[in-house]
Amino acid sequence: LPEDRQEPIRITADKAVRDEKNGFTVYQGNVMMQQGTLRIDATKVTVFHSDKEADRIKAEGSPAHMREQPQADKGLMHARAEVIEYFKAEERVLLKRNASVEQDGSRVAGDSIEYFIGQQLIRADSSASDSGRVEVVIPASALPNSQQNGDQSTPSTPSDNSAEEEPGGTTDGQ
Amino acid sequence: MQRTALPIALALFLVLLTSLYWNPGGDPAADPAIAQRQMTLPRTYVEEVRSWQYAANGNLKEVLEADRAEYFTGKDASELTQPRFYSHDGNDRSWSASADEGTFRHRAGILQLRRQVRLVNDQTGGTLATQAMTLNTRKNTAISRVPVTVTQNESILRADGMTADLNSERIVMSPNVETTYVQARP
Repeated sequence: LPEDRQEPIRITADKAVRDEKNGFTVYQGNVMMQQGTLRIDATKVTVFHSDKEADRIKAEGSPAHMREQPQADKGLMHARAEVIEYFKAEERVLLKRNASVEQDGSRVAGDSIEYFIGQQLIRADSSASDSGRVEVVIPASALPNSQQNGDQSTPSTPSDNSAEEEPGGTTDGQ
Repeated sequence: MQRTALPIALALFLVLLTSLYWNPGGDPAADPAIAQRQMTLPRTYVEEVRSWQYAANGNLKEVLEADRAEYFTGKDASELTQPRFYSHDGNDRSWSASADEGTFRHRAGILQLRRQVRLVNDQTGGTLATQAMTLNTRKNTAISRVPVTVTQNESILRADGMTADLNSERIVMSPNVETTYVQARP
């Protein structure tokens, strides 16, 4: 939820290594991080804290799992990847390696996915070196009525293996 | 003159003879209770005490001060009141530790702190609070086996124990770690 950003970040773990000189703390073992409705479960979470506050958080797992309620009237958004980086000031989440985002039946998968929380925008990429492609699944129920009944035109295939989608259904191919 | 010198010499001889055999304190071994009591008494005590230690290259390494220090021979240790310890790593970075009570074991260089223990990273302001901590002044490490709390600004980190390396400024906290990072007000 929009007000999540003002909430404190709570983390529980089995162990923490705090590096005062370089300004980060590594949490390991059953790590659970919570900020309002945003929650991340991972095996390892690194919090980079400048003087004032925690400004960047990196979660690693197999996969690390993030979930959030973007808006009160929408379903939970689930994001999974081997590495999830959360840039608090930019309200941006970067998912890397085996990344996927699901919400209300829609699903986007790729090598890396950027999720812009404020704009509720997802940008998925697949690395050129790999034959993998971005995969987008939108259930019929999520499509607007005009497209459900008649117009079955297939969304244009993005030229550079990336796609932008707004959670909740419509894809803006490029 | 000779008549008066003889009795004086005799008297001196008798006094010496008496002091050889008559020891007011008595043989401690003779009464264990006395010996026990003597062991529990500090050999010396000093107030407003401060000691400095320098590294081989002349850099200040550490400062230990206390409101009162009582030295016990048997334990080769000093019991400290309001001890304060400052550790310098030679790069203008320092830590300070303080507590209500402490015991300093001289030979081992071990400082055990008890009650209202604080360990402060003077550069970041990060403060660790606990009720018992053991500081190894030789290795510049600290250990605590009881709950500890680290605070910095409004963020709090808790755990049921910790080990700290003051030179690398790293604190390993476990088990049962709980942290709250509070957002800075815009």
